[in-house]
Amino acid sequence: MPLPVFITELGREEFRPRLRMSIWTGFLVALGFAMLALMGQLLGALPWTATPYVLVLVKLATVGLAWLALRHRQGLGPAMAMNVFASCAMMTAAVYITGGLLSPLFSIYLIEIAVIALLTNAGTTVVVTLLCGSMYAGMAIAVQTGVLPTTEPPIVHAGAVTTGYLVARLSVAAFVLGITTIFINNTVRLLRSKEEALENKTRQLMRASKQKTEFMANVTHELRTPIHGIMGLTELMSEQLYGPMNRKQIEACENIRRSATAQLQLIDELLLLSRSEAGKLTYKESPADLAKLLPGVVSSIRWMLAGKELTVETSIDPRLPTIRVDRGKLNHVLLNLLGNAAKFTPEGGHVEIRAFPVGEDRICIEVEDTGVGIPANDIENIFDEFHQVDGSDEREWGGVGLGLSIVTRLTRMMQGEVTVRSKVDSGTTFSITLPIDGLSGRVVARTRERSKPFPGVAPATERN
Amino acid sequence: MKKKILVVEDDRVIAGAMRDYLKAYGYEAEAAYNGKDAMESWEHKDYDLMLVDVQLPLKNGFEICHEVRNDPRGATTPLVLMSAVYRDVERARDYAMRGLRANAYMEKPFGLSELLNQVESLIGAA
Repeated sequence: MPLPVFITELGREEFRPRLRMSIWTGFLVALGFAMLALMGQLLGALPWTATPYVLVLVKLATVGLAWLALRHRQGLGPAMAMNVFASCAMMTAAVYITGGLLSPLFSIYLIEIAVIALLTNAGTTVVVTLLCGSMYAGMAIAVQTGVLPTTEPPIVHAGAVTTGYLVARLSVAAFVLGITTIFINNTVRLLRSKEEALENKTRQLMRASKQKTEFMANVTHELRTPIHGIMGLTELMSEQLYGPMNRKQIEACENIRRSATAQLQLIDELLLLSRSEAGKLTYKESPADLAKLLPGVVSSIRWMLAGKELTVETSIDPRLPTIRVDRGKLNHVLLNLLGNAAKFTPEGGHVEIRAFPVGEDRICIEVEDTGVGIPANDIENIFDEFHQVDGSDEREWGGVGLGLSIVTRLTRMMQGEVTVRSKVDSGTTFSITLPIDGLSGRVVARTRERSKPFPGVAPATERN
Repeated sequence: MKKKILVVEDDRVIAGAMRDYLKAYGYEAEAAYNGKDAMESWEHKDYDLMLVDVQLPLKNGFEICHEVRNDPRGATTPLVLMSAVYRDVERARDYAMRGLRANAYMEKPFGLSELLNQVESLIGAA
């Protein structure tokens, strides 16, 4: 029979310190019990019998067993179960010899239950409470039906409320309250220190993350500078300002420039991402005529084709109005989508970018390709950072997989939405819908974002 | 007489490329690699145009901009700020938009032909 989760869970490493604590409490309670019994006998509240000490010895034996099991990490479950069962039985026996239903010791059950509740879990606590309750009830029924002889409570044994009886009674009360208080106090202190440690850790992590972001911003800047040098010198050479060059050399210069541009683009993506993460992206809106903007974007991705035979077509609905948008950001989004389309479409393929109005107040820009497509089960992940559909080491496609996550961030920042439909081996279409009048005059200078795992920059109204 | 341009740029490769390019197009171009050298060159010569990077050792581009403008000789000297650091670019844009302090800003990395266009629009062809 499989054990319930609340039992098996206790075997986990994080419960070890708590179980250890319960063992020390067990020892303490057993010894306290022996002292109380002795005191009761000396003060005339209990008869002179050996029964209490036998009970204490049995309890010490089961606690000792549990302690050994914990130390040697062997048979912990049975040992603990036996220890708890023994505790309940010993307590019931103690209640019985001090008068059964009339016993003043009923409250000792509370110690056990409080300790179990603080150290283990809800399930175990319920089980132990039921165990205590049924043992108590069993004992009461046994006495009532004459199976067990009746016992007299200490008050009857003492004959009257003598000073001795009073002292013994108050000692029991002090013991029960004392143990519970010390225990709760320890547990609360333990939790507090854990909470503090967690808070410190969180602060540290936040600081580290901030430092990382700043570091990224600096590093990307340092990475850009040498590229500036490479591109400048290449330009000088290809204009033959350092002397004449043959065709091969000019071609090599062109390739150096292309590589440097690709590298620069990647660095800019990283920079954009780290700025967006630091909440430092600004939004600047102005009127944009897509009939002028789109052809510009298309012509600026020609270099990415690197001689690949692709037809790129632009179609703009004549009803398309001028929209208000952050042109830089829109440019970036379209560059990314077109670049992606060009990258994943094989030789001889076709890429189309079209723009048309949607309803009264939105427009849609679509980028369609006849490329490799995206498998259905990968579609929801493609907007994640660093994600590329083929995660294997021998990926056919280069790149780090930042493009689409940046597309999402920027589009959300413009109050737009990105959707994608795709069919493997026949092509992919990305659609972006944007509001015609931008953020409608809402002033959004800076947006901070914290949300994961879909960290869109959504000013004014938070989406998802 | 050739038009004189001072290129202030701490990256010697970039400074050299800019200087050589401008020379090739007929300007007289010099390079200074830090803020202090730039101001020293400025003291000794009249320039028709200053191309000033923002992040410089010893004295940054904004400081150079202020000092040149505070000098009666430099009140109208065309000055272009250049930077690759995002927040500096923003500030440089601000400088250029208010007109008097800088005449233009360029976000790095830019192409040398772009630079030439900017130079020609400010001081004309060599």
